[in-house]
Amino acid sequence: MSAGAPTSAAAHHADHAGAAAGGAPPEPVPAHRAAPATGDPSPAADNDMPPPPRVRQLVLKVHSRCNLACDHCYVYRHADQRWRERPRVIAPGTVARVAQRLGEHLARHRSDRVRVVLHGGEPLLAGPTVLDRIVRTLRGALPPGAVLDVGVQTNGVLLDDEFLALCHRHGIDVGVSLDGDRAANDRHRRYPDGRGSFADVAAALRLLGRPEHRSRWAGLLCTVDVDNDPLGVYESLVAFDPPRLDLLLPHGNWSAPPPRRRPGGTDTPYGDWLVAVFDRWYPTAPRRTGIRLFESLIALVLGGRSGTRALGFAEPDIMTVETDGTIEGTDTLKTTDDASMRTGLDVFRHSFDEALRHPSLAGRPTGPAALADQCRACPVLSACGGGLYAHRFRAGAGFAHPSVYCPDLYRLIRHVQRVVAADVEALHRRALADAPARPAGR
Amino acid sequence: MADPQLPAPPVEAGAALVRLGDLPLADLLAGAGDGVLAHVLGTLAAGDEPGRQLDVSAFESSF
Repeated sequence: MSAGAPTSAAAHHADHAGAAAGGAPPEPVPAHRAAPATGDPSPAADNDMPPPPRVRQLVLKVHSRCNLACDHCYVYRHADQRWRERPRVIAPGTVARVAQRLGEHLARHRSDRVRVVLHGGEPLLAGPTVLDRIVRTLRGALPPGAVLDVGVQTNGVLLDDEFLALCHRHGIDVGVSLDGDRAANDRHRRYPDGRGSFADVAAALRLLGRPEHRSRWAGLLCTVDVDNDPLGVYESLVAFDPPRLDLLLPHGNWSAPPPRRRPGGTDTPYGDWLVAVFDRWYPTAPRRTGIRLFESLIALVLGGRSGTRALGFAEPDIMTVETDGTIEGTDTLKTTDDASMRTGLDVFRHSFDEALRHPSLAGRPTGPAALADQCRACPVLSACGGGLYAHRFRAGAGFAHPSVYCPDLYRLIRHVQRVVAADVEALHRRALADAPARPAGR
Repeated sequence: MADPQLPAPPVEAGAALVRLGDLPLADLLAGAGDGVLAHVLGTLAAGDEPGRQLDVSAFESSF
C-alpha cells in the first residue's frame, strides 16, 4: 500500500529545499481586518441568541503520508481514499491561506483562543523546518491578543532532540500513539516491511519522558484491540508514566463494523475490555495518570462535560484542513462512505464560517433531536450522547442510529455510574460525619 | 436498554446520572483523597471541563 511506503524526512526536505533552508521566514499572509481578541461574547450572544458556531480546534494535515503501515489506520484503511491524490506536504501558500482564514475567523468571532493539531499521515515527516514555518505563519496571522495552542499527534518514530527543540520553542504539545506492549502494539503498528514499531516508539517515549522534555508531553493514544489483554495494555502504557492517555475504539459503523463487534448483537467485548481497565485504574490512589475517556465519563455522569468527542453531546467545532487546502469536518468521517460528508470546500475559495454551515460541520443536526429514537429513550443518553458521530453511520441511511458500539457503551457507562454513585455516597456519609467537628460557618 | 437495578434518570443532555446532592462540593472534596474521583471533582469545582484541559485537544484522534 503506497500510504505506508517509507517517506523519509530527507526526501521531503529535498522536495522543499528552498523553504526548508535555514529557518525560512513565515509565509506572508493576506491582510484581514482583525479585531482584537477579547473573549467577549459575540454580538449574537448579547441578544440572548445562541452564539454562532465557531472553530475551536483545527486539525491541520501537514503531511498526507505515513512511515508506518498500521492495518487499523482510519486514514488509509477506510472508505475515503482521497489521500492518494493529495500533496504529500502542505505547501507554503496553502499554509498562508489557512492562517488567513483562521485569523479572519477568530477576529470575526472575537475568539481569544484556538487550538491547531498538526496531524497526518505522520506530521513529523514534514520535517522540523517546515513545521517551524507553519506554526510561525499561523501565529503571525492571529488577531492581537489571540492565543494559538498547538499540538502534534505522532507515531513517535521520528521524534528526536531536534523535533523536541522545536516543540519547546513553540510550546507544541506532543501526543504519541502506542497500543500497548511490544506484542500488543506490533500486532497492528508496523512498518511497511512488517517490522514492529514498538522499539522505536519506546525509545522516543523515554526521550519525551525525560525531565527536560516532559512538559511537552500531552499523552498517549491507544487504539483498543480486544484480542490484547486489557490489563497488560494498561500497565504497559502506564509504565511510560504518561501525563494522560486515551483508549480509542477502533473506527467502524453499522455497514463496516469494527473487529469482533457484531452490529446489533448484545455482547459487549469492548465494554468488558474497558471495564477491566477502569477497574484497575480507578481505585488507584494517588491517581497514576489521566484517562481521557474515563474522566470524561465520570464528569458526564456527574453532570459535567466531556473532554472527548467520543462521548456526550459534542459540538461539531473541529475542522480539518487537508494538505491540498480542502476543508472537511471531523477527520473520523473518513471512515464512512457518505459522500454528503465531502464538503467540496477549500481554504482558497471559502471562509471557515462558510464551511461551518456544511452538514459535516456545524450544519448537521446536534443534540438529542439528532439521535435515533432508541437513543432518546435511553437512560444513559446524557453520558453517551450517541457516541462518536462516525460510529452511528449506516450506508444509505445516514447517522440517525445508535452507535455501532451501543451495547459496549451502555455496559461501560452503567458500570462507571455504579462505581461513582457508591463513592459519592461514601463521600456524603463522610462529609456529614465530619460536619460537627468543623468550625461553625464552614 | 433496560437496567432494573438503577433508576431511570432524566435523559436530557447535561443531566447527571449521579447527583452530588446539596452538600458543598468543597465538603465532598475534603474527604475525597487524591484518587481519580477527587481529581474529577476538583475540575468540576474549578469550573473546568473535566478531562479537557485547555492545552489538550478534544479531537479523539489526538491530544
